[in-house]
Amino acid sequence: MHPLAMPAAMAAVAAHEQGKFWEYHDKLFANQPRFQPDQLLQYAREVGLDVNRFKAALDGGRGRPSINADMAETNALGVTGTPAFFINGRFLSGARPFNDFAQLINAELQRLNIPLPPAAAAQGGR
Amino acid sequence: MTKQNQTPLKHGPAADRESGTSGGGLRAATLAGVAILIAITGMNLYETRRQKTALDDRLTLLENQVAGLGTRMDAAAKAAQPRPQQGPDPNKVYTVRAEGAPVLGPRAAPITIAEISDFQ
Repeated sequence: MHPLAMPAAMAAVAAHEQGKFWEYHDKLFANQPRFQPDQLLQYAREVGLDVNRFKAALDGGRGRPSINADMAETNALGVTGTPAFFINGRFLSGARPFNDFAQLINAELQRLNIPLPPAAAAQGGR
Repeated sequence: MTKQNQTPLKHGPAADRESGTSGGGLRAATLAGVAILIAITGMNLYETRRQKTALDDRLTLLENQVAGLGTRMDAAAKAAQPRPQQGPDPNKVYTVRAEGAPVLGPRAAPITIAEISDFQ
């Protein structure tokens, strides 16, 4: 793991604790790779987190157990590179074009006898 | 008066020396020549044997190198054999543990996309 990825992940879990994981997640991706402690704190301010609680979570290493559990899960699944996706449990590797996702999703919808979205149906359910 | 057309027979050391330019001298020259030829042949033989030994040594060395190369090539071929695909099997259906994970959208959705990613 990249050395700056861990503090960023810990910060994201701290944000998740306060119910704002996705906002913080977007903030991190928009500001890669500026993940120094003062920068992570700034992002917390920007998404409206309780900064003291955020800091306490980081200082206390509260995110570590769940991050470690996620890494163990990743290894158990045999995932070696990120990003990796599982669509209804079916593995899709890497950053792929939308169509690869659409194909897998449509196949799952058909398997579950769920009508395809109109656009997908128009394309013949590819 | 008739000329004595005979070479007077000479005796003694002088005679011997002089007669060496004909009979004895020829013999000595022949012997010397043969000796030289033998020496030259001997030298050639020696040189040839030396060269042969040197060539044999080089041949042995080359054979060893080729044998070594053969071993290395076999090892490389084995290593280059396609290894089993890394990563999860696309034909399998996995269960991704997701309790406590941040979620977007309704939990009971028919399609679940689990993303494994890092921030860096």
